[in-house]
Amino acid sequence: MPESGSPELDAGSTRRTPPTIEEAARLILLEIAPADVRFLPLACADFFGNAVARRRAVRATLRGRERDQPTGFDAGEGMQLVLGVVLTLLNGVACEVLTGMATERVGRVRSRWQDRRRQRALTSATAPEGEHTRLPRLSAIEAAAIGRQAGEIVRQAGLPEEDAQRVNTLLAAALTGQGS
Amino acid sequence: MATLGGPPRDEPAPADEHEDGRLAPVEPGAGILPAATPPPRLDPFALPAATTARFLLMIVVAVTSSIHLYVALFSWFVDATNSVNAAPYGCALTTQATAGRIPDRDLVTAYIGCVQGVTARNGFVLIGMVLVLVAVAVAIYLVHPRLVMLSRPRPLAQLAVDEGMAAVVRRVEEAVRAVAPKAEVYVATLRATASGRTFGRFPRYRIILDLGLLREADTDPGRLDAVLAHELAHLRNRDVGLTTFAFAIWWAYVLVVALPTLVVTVIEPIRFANLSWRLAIMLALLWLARTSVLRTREYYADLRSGSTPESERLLLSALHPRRPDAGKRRWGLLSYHPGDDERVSVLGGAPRLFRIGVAEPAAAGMLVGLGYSPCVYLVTMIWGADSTSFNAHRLVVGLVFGALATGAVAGTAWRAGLLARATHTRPPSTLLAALALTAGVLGGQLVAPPLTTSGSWASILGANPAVAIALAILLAVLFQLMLRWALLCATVWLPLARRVRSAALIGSIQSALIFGSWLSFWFGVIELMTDGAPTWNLLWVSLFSTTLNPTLQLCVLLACAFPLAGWAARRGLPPRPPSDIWRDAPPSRLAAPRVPLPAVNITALTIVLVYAAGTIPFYGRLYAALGRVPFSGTVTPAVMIGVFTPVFVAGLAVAVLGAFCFGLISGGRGNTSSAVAGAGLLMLLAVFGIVPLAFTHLSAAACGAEGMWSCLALLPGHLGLSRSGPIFTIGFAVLILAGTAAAWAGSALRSGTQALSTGPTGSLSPWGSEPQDDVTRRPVSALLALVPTTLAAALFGYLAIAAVAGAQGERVAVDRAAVIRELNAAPKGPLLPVQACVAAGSVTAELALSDAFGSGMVIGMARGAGYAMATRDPIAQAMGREGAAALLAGDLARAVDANNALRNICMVSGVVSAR
Repeated sequence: MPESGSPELDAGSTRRTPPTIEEAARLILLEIAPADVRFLPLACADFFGNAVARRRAVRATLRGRERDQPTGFDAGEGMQLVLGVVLTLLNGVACEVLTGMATERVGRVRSRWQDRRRQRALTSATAPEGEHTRLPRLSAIEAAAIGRQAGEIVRQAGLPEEDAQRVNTLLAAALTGQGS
Repeated sequence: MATLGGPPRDEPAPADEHEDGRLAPVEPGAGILPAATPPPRLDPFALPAATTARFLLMIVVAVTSSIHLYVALFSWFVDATNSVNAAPYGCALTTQATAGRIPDRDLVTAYIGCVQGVTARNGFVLIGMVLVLVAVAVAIYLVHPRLVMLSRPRPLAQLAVDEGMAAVVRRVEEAVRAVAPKAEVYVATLRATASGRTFGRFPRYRIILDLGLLREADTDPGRLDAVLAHELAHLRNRDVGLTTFAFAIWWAYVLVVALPTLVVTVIEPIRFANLSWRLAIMLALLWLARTSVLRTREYYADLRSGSTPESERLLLSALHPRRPDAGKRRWGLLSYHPGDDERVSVLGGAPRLFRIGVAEPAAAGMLVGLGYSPCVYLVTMIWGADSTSFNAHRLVVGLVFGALATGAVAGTAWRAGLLARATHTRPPSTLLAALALTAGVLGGQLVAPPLTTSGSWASILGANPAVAIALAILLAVLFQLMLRWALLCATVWLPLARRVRSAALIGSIQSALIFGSWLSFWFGVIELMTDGAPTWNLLWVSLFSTTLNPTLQLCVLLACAFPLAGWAARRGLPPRPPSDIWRDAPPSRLAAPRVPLPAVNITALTIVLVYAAGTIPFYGRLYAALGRVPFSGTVTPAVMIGVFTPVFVAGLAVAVLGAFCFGLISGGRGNTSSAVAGAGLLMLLAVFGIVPLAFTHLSAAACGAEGMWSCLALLPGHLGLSRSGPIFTIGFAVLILAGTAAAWAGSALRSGTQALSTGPTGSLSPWGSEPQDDVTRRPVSALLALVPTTLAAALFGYLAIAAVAGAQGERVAVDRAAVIRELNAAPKGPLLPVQACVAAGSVTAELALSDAFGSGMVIGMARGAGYAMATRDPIAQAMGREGAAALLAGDLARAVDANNALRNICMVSGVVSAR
């Protein structure tokens, strides 16, 4: 098992082995929300250990907001913690749900229907080894498409454009084994 | 947006707008506050919140409105399973077998008993279905915390393993322990927001904080403090239990009511098509009512948590949008939380919680319109129709709904009254709220599926729109009177109370009694109108019958006595201590309204004296009219009306003139409300002079000066004391309507002249202009002011008891000749049963106004009996004979039973023959 944040090199190749979900999440978080990194183990345990919590996190990510809860505070503050968003994306990539969808978006009507399908797929899919599941290694074209898709989901989740761009780049790099 | 503002001043002034949208009174002269000083803000917790009643109303309506759908489902089940014994036509079959073999009276009694038994059994089945709904709701309520915990949030202590978080965890634990030691705190690691949530059930409450909130605590501890204080405020405000149960009842409604209805709709789409859209509206209404109340509770939680300047600052900072688009909600009506801007403005003092809104009364009205009729329907099924004038079952249901609706609506009137008293502004208009409440009730009636016995305004609208509109206007007038009365009571009693909260609670109980009785009698009129053809004649008879109901009279008296007692108390008690009503200012004394009590007493005395002396010159004409009146034997209602009309018209003319002068003297700009209220009291006093004087004038005119006293002693005996009461009541009702209208006209005239002389903005003199400290203590005068009301309450109480006692087996004066004439007028040939059914069902078709005072419906019942006897159907014949015999014996209750039995069997006979 490589150390966190340093995926091992493939033998005889300049490309590294694709990172695990946790490693990739750590890389992304270090870039866009360094303060969240210390909570990553807790979040991973909850995301992969509890189907209900995972479903709620995925739905909140795709909806772009958390559910309004009675007797809550709910000051309309928007997304403050990106752990759920990042884990949703990486779980989708690991389960190849995001991979399949990156090339399907055509037309508005179909896209809306696909959004629903994507939501269902993302909520039901779980990486087989949890946070230790390795992300697939993809070609540069496929990785770029997934990166764009991920960036769009990040945007949809309500995070700033700058974060969406970073996630796009980091994820694409990780999937092609270029990540640091 | 307006503001509460302004400490008490001696002079009132119109309100002005602040830059931040808050309203504060502009004080003339030395009382002006420096521009930089923010006006003090009223404490919303000074009075009880109206939201608890709204929650309870919603829960009760969810339960009772399910009866609508359960009745349809049960009826479908009976038809589908061919359960003959479960339906009233089983009774018809039994009666058919015994007709001709037992006496007519026994046949009617047996049939009615059978129908009542079947109906009661069906009622218990419906109660069972409703109990299932409640049980499911309770189950959801109990299991709700487990549902929330399905996402398995981590106990807060688990976060303490991180060194950086240990201090934060301790901080949270200490804050929670200080307010709710038993509450457990959890952390949601995957929620993206920096928020929190309270849930659970007594005594185990839980708070879930988002990890984002705790993560920020290092750099921004204020937000954590604000959110935690807000969540703890929900616990302190006892929001959690009611919120969870409201959630539970909605889902139970969906599972146990809506889902079965949808399934049956799929099976029999034509039969249930009419129910589908109603069900959708009911579901939407219940949802909207819930979110509306929850939004209001959020304001209270904010205000509770921001009770100190520091906590308020932190809360305002937490509510400040972090992104430009944050804080705006796309679906405000569906949201559980108000927008951040609205929350900030309420926190800053905007009087949103002290205003009589439009949406809340409309929602409360709609809930009442939906829930009242099925509740009465079910109670009637179990208890049977109440034949006494008390209509106990309707009254009990009316009181329940009255209490809840009052809590929801009149409570806001008290809050608006406090705002007006505290800021020296005029009490707000209640017209829009009254119209919204009316529209809500009527809308609820339109949405609710009509039930056979409890009546519906929608049915009347379909049969006679003009009458339906008249009933709607009547309801709006009643609501407007109720709201104005609540405002009046608030402005009278709040300055007198040691604790304004207690005064408001007592006032709400009074409002519940009065509003509940009005509500039940309005629905009673609807029931009467739906029962027969809704004609104008029937409307008048129903209204007069209702006016004569002693329970209603007592409630009206209570309404008169309550503000009057406040006026009397003000004269009798020493000045009250200052009230603690401000959030950020010391307690202050509320200004009391002006008391026109001396003017009331003087005007009442003048009216009585003028009436006593002014009628004497007309004795000659009266004698000429009375000479033809037979003052012996039975005096029919028609004769009674003819005798009393001239003397009462004279009394009315004098009273109206007096009230107009009273309005002219004590009214004017800003004083109209006190003038109108004073006129109501004035009429109550005057009626105690005018009615005995009317008796005296009649006796003197009919029997001369010598025989006057002997005639006077005989007159009540001829008329019967139980029918003298209605004379007082009608006299009071007519006088109060005419008198208050005249006082209003007098006040309006004075207002007009004031406006002409001073201009539209000059010399404003609201009725809170006089400080109360200048009132001289006059305990005796205060007690004397209460004497007429006490006397009236005693009289009407006696009449009420007499009416109830006399309702059982009452023998009434029946015009036997008219009965025999109707019986003989029936066609001789053998009639079809349907002809007898039509005749029996239209007993109210030829009602006259005089029927409200006496036997009523006798002619119609006689005709129905005659037609029934002329059929070949043995059951109809037996019931017709029983009805005729009862009418000739003067036993109205028996005759009504026979007529009801005939109508009932008419309804089911088609089913019997079909099977």
